[in-house]
Amino acid sequence: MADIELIKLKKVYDNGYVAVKPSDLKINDKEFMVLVGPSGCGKTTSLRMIAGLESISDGEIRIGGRRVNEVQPKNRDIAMVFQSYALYPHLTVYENMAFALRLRKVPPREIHEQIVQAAEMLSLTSQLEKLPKALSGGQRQRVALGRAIVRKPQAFLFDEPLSNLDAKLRGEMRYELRSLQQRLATTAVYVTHDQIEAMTLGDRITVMSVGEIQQVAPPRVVYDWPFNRFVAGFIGTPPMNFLPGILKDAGGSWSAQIAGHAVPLAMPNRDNLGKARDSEIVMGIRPENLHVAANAPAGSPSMDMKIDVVEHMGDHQYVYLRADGLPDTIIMKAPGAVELAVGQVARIHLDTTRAHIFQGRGEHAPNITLPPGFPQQQ
Amino acid sequence: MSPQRIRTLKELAKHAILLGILFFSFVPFALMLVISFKDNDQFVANPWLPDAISSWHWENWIKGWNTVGPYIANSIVTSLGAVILCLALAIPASYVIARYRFRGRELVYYGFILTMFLPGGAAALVTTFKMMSSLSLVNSLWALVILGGVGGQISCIFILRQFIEDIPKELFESAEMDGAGHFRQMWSIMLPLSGPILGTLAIMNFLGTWNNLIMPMILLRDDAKLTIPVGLMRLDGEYVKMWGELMAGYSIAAIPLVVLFLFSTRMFVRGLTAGAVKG
Amino acid sequence: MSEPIIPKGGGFQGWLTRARFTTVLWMLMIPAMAGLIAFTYIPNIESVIYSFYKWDGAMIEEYIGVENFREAFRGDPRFWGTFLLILILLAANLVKMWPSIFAAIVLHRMKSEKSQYLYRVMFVIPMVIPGLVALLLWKSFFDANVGIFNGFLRATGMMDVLAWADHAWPAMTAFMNGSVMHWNDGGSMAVNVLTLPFKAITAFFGGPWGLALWGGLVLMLARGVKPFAKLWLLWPLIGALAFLAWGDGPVTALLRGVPLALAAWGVGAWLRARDIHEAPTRIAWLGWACVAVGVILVMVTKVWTHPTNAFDLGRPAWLGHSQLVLPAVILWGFPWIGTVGVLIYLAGLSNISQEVYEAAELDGVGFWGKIFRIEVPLIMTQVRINLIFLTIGTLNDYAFFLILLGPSGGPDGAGLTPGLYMYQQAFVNGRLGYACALGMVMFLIILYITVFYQRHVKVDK
Ligand SMILES: Nc1ncnc2c1ncn2[C@@H]1O[C@H](COP(=O)(O)OP(=O)(O)OP(=O)(O)O)[C@@H](O)[C@H]1O
Ligand SMILES: [Mg+2]
Repeated sequence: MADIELIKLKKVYDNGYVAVKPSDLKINDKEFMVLVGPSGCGKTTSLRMIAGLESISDGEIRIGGRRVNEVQPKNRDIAMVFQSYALYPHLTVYENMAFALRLRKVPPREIHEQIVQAAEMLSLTSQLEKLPKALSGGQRQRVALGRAIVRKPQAFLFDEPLSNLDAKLRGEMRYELRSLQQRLATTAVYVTHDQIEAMTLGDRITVMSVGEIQQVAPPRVVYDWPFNRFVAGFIGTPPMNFLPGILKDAGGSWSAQIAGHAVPLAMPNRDNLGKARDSEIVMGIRPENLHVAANAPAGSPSMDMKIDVVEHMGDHQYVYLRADGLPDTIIMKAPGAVELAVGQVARIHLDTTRAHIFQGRGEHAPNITLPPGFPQQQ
Repeated sequence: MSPQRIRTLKELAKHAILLGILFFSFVPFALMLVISFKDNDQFVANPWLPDAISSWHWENWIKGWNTVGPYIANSIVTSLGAVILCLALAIPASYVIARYRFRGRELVYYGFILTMFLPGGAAALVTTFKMMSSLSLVNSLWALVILGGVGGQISCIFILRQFIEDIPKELFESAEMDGAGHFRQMWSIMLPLSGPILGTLAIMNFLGTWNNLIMPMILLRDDAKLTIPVGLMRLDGEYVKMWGELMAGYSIAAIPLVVLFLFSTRMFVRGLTAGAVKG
Repeated sequence: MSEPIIPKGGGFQGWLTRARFTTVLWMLMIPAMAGLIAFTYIPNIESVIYSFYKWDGAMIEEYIGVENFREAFRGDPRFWGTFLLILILLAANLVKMWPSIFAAIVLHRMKSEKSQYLYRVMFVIPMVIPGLVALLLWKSFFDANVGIFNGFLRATGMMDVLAWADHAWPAMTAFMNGSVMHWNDGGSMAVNVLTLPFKAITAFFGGPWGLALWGGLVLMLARGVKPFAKLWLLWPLIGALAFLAWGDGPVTALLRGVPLALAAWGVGAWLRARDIHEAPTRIAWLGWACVAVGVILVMVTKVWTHPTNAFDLGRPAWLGHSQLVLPAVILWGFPWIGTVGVLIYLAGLSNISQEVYEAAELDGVGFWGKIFRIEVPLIMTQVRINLIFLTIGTLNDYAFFLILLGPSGGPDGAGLTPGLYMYQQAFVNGRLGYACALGMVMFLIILYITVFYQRHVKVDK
């Protein structure tokens, strides 16, 4: 069992492409850390550097306090589950799981016990003599897990292990993975671009974008206090709405000038707003913080919007709204019972106690409504 | 005619075409077997069809065996030796070239491939002979083993490289993380996964050495050391040709390989088709 | 593709890890490389060195500079003459390629997997029969007295046809050539009219070779001058051919070649000016027609110009008559199924799914359409690769002719290839140094062809 530490870790590929910019990250012992980010942001590269399968351009990796830059992958005592599973096609499930143990000269009796135990845990007991090609996708996935488990490594690395499964199976495996990790209590680094997986699996989440770490925090914190606009937009479905505007200070009470409306701001941490007085900002507000309010009073933060599309999901519905002067469609999550007609103009209340203000219009614009001293990594 | 009938007819036409082609391909070998049981008079009188079985000249095969048989062991030893040498050289080299990127990799690779375009031919025959005599390998089967193995490794490396590159690299990486070294990765991942193609390469190399005529002709002196092709040339060179014996000798020279083939049909056909994709 | 896991930095420890890692990699390759260098490169390099020597392999070993090369280029028409045989063999091999393609297509279209597999096995069997056995077998078939081939010709009456043609054909050739030679000497009206087109061709293009070459030029110009300019590697070849076809000296070649090239370009420009889209295909058709007519005329008027008198007794010695060696060699190995070729093409074809055929059927693509629009394009890569190896193989081969015809290349050297000529020089005439020099020349030619193929015959992996 060990913690993993990345210190100023950097990766430059032979063609000069900087896949990972110098990043620091500490993954605690027994922690389930999820690396999440859009495609091509350097997640796999980081993971493969931890595994020792990719050379390190600069910086350092420590596992259990030991520098491992020069350590061969086989001596790092780490198990990896590949996206394609990488099951040895010519070996049975049993032999696949036994492969690493045999190389380690583990006595056959012990190997057998380990495999039987792991197979039971993963309900693979009846599949042990089959070849990988005779298994279903979910079963292959579990064999890949089993192969990692029997080694009892210091840490697990997962590279999008669920992305080849269908939606239902993915849900089930997510649950199994989580309970497995809790039982085994082993450090795990899990790479995904699916933010639902990130939210449900991780003890903490690391959000990456173009080779840089944007925020590290437990899922709830990332959701509630996104460090910058990128994190805010990436975590949560449907994504947060962004409304560009100008920040105004009306004698101690802050408001945002959005599409001709003055929207009074009521979030708890407004001490930093002074930096962006009278300049461009983006207000971020999640779909669940928009409400239909037919008779909202004039001074309240509300706007008239036209209903474009309604997606009914049963107990709730997603409403796509358009408002004059706003570049993007606004998404609102409303209770399923509310009757809404396409084409109708509705008065929408913006719950600005739960909104965020991002300074500037950039993709990575910082959140200036975080609690004081809020760390990027926690 | 119903579409069903037309389809059946089309299939039949395909069979007819292929059987026709195969018929012509096999006629020479069928005639070889037929003639091998005739004496010269029977051959002149009726070269096409077998005679009554009572008048078959079985002794042709005995004579053929006496001429060609002694060389079979030599041929087997050299061909087998060449195959083993070839694979022993080509497997690690193609493993490294296919799996790792390092300075000089392409240079090494093209160093191998370039030799496919060398004129070789008669000019290099002389210098090769000179080299062999300076190693005192003239009149030694070792020379043939070495030349067969070293010459055969080139196409092996060429094909194996492409094949290994198509094996998902995660398999190697996974094995590496499981603690496998280079030889273990070759043995447990590469060899099992490239089984048919390796077998095919082995057989091709075997055939190449088996069929080689010029080198043994130049290098071997002792009658006891000659290989089958040289023996066949001797049969062919006799002034008064006994066609039956000749054909029996040819048949005997062909049989070991056909037997080898029958034991490995599945693998060979599969490997050839797979290898063919890589060109 | 994998990368080495060689971390940078890390001071001495890191350097050591790196060094150890790469050393192991090189250790794994060294046996193969050592073998290659010792037994392939060194003999070849040595033969390069000896190409500057007068050397008989034993006593005489004397440095003579580029004398060998000078002799090869200046004073050895026999060596260069062997390339004509190569050209003919190459052309024949191009034709012999098709049965394999055809067989592969039929095999691929076979519906039942099982019979397909069976046929595949059958096609492999000829491959495991030693090449020498097949060669000697065929040699015996061509035997003059007891050979099965002659027996077959006699039995089917073809021998009589050949005996008749042996006199009729050269008579016709002589008539055409003769009437051409004396085309302004008068002669009967009928003869003049009959051979008029031929005379026109001769007058304008300088004979059938010229016509074929001109057609080739037109073909190359089909897409315009710019792409043609990019074919610069071909220019020396065109020059050499023009020299052969159009002149007894550089001046006459130029006098004829330049106007003809301009004419070719003019035809292309005119067609292109009229209709931009149809032009390339039309020019191509014109080009192919010229090549075809030219080649046919060459065959009619340059080959088989004299009776061989070999068929009269019904026992032609195919391998013993200078005029018959070539036909025998071309006929060799009928039906020309190359086992490996069939399997290679089959592998290429396996990319076509059954649905493609069904879609094609719905689109109304016919039998030939399927072959030339779907199947052949799909195996073009394989065909091209085959083409490269075929060319190099044909150029290099000498063992076949050595076994068949002996080191002299048969009667009148009718089967003398460059490789065999080299062998002859080395082992019959004892001129090893000169043979090495010829080997170098061959290498340069092969290099040229390879580079040419690399550039212009695209092999997309
Ligand atoms: N061998 C390589 N050479 C050059 N660039 C590479 C190489 N491998 C990856 N890259 C680039 O590095 C960047 C990061 O790649 P990486 O595989 O880490 O992305 P990722 O975050 O795992 O994405 P995904 O979610 O699609 O798997 C990408 O832009 C990719 O194009
Ligand atoms: Mg990835």
